[in-house]
Amino acid sequence: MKQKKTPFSIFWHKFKQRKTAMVAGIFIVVLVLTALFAPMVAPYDPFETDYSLSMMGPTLDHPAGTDVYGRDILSRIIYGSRISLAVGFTSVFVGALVGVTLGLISGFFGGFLDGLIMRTSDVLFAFPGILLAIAIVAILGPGLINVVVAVSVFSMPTFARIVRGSTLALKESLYVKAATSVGASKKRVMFVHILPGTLGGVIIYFTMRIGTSIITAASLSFLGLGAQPPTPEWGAMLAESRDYIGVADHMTIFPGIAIFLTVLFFNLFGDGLRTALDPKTK
Amino acid sequence: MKRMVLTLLALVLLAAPSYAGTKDIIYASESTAKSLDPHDTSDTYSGSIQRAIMQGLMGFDKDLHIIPLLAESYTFNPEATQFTFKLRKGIKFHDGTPFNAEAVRINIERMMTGKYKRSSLMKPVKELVVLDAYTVQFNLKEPFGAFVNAIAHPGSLIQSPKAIETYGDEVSKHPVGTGPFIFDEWVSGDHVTIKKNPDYWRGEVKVDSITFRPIPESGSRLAMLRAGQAQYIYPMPAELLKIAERDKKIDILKQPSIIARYLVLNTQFKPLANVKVRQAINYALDKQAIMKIAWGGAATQLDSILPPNLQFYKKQSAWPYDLAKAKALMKEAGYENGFEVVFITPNASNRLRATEMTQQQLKKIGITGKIQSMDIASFYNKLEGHKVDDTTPLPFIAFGGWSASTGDADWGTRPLLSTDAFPPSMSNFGFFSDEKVDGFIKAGLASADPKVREKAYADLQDYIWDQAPWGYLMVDSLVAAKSKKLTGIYPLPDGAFSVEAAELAD
Repeated sequence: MKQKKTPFSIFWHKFKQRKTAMVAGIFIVVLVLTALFAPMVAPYDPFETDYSLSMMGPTLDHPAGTDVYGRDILSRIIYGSRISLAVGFTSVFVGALVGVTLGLISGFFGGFLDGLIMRTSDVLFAFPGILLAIAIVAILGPGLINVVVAVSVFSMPTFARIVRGSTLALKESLYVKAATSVGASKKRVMFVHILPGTLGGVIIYFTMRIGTSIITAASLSFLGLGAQPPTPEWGAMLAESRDYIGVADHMTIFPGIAIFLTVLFFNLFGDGLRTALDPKTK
Repeated sequence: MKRMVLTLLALVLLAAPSYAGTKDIIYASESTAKSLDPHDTSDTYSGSIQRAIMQGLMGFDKDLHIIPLLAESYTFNPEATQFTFKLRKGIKFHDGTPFNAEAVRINIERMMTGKYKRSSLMKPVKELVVLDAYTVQFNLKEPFGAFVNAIAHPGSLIQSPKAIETYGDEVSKHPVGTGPFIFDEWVSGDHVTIKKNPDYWRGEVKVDSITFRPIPESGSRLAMLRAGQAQYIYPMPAELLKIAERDKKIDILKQPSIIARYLVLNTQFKPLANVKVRQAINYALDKQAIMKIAWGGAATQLDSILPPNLQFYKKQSAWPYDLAKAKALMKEAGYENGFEVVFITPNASNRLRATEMTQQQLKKIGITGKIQSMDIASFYNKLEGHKVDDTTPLPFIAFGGWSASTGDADWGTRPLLSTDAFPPSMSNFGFFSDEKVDGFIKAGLASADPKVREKAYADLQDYIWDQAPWGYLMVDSLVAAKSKKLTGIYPLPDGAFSVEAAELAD
């Protein structure tokens, strides 16, 4: 018997073929689980200091070594995954929510609103992302919440632009015209008929953007604008240990690897999604 | 064959004199020279270069004791209002102008105009009288027992009167003095070069030139030294000491400084106004761990409110690390369950580390709170912005530091702990106020007699130590590193350095 072809089964069939994306997906699932169950997974309390263990290299007891205050680096990285994922996900989610809404309004109504929203986006585009984030945090003051706000703000315009583009195309499509002609309200056309059609692009960009957001958040923490000590944030851990490069390299290497792998796998995952969601590929 | 030998011989002969002839030193530092006019300089680094070119009537030795330089001796009256200096004879400035009372008058009167950054040093002076060609007398407005320290301060160096006349305030780019080195060139933002003074009055100078180069990144500074591109680096980052110690061509120099580090406790805030709480904090601080981890071991424990190298320092018994005692004192004071504060600190990595450790350690006696770190200018702006009559005083503990650059006990106590020194006028950032303390500080200034002053400052140190206005931490050790071939350059306790006796082996 032939299986029925749902959109999901088509997607899954295509996605499975991308081995790297599968690996990335598995890594992300494991990472999310680790973050959720951090207190059970982490071998030590990430805040407990033991000055006599200051800057010990990797051992069996401490597989990633200890930091300058004798705290277990592995446990700190595990707890840090909570912060990085939470900040990455929340900021992109907020950015997407606002960006998609604005893009939809902009593309659907056109005219003055469209001009206003798109020109504002252009202004935001003119800044390199990290500079804009630094400027926002400088105004709001350091702290993780403000980092989320900053990263959201500079994610917004891209979402708005993606959604506006597909909205413009979909608005002219036959089924939307048909819906309008049978008397569907503007609200219904926007949210029921157009919005789902734009989501493919949004999902891809969403995934890729999480990687960028994690890096931005870590960079801000590295500069002392994000997480404040003793929070075990990866960027903050790098900042704390950079003075000891050449003396205790493990202190920078392990948080560095954590950031590198997480961002890499989010991007590979997004890449796989793009291929799988593209109607032109088989 | 013969031709080849001759060529080789010629090469050797050409090379030999230049090899043995020039002894040039490169000094790599984190700072850049800002001015070479001592009367108008407030940074230690520029001041140190000036001290190689110019000298004052008095100066400091390696341990910050006052020694006579251009003056032979001095006398003062018992009221500490009149100081008379006998000048050394037969000394000439680099431009040939003779050094005498007239040269001193021109320099001091220039400072007394109030136009320059170091004019404050001569603020107590009413008038300068030239008694004869080699004797000058300062008459002061009121008793100022620490006046000789102001004369020995690097801001009071004597420049050639002819240079002041020729260049005016542009003398900052054309320094002329009596020191062991003659100014050669200054490329702004890049380097300052000084060369040997062949007629130096204190004896032969052993190197031909010294070039001061700013290398702000500490890793590069160490790399230059290891590669032989610099012979001396300061500061040597304490975090990288392990790398430097492994290198057999490098010597590490550690010198105790006069830079005290302590926690400013806001005594306006009710729990911290309680002396028992402040004592509990001193018991709860693991000073040894903070010195070792936050400061990379480049410190000694603070064992009086004055660092050991300051005049009239008197050693007190150190506060041991004793959690049980700390907890008991908190209970006695009625703060068994602790309270919340804010930890304020400059964001330099070592200070941030020390503050983090403070946070970790005070948590054990129930004092908890968040850290606010900021650049050093914002940090001082914040502390200077606090007001004395705040109805809801901010519960803060701040990471403080102080270097009394006159080398005198007055400047190490009055600006930090007297009631007159509440911000913004001076630096009593914790609003500590105690009548007895104010009395001792006043007594210390009322005389220039060392015995009277010593007594006042000894009483002050004995009394205030148990009052615990601060969380006492440590005294910085200055760490520099140099090539083994180089001798005679060393850091001075106030963070400056001396190059007069520099020598470079082949």
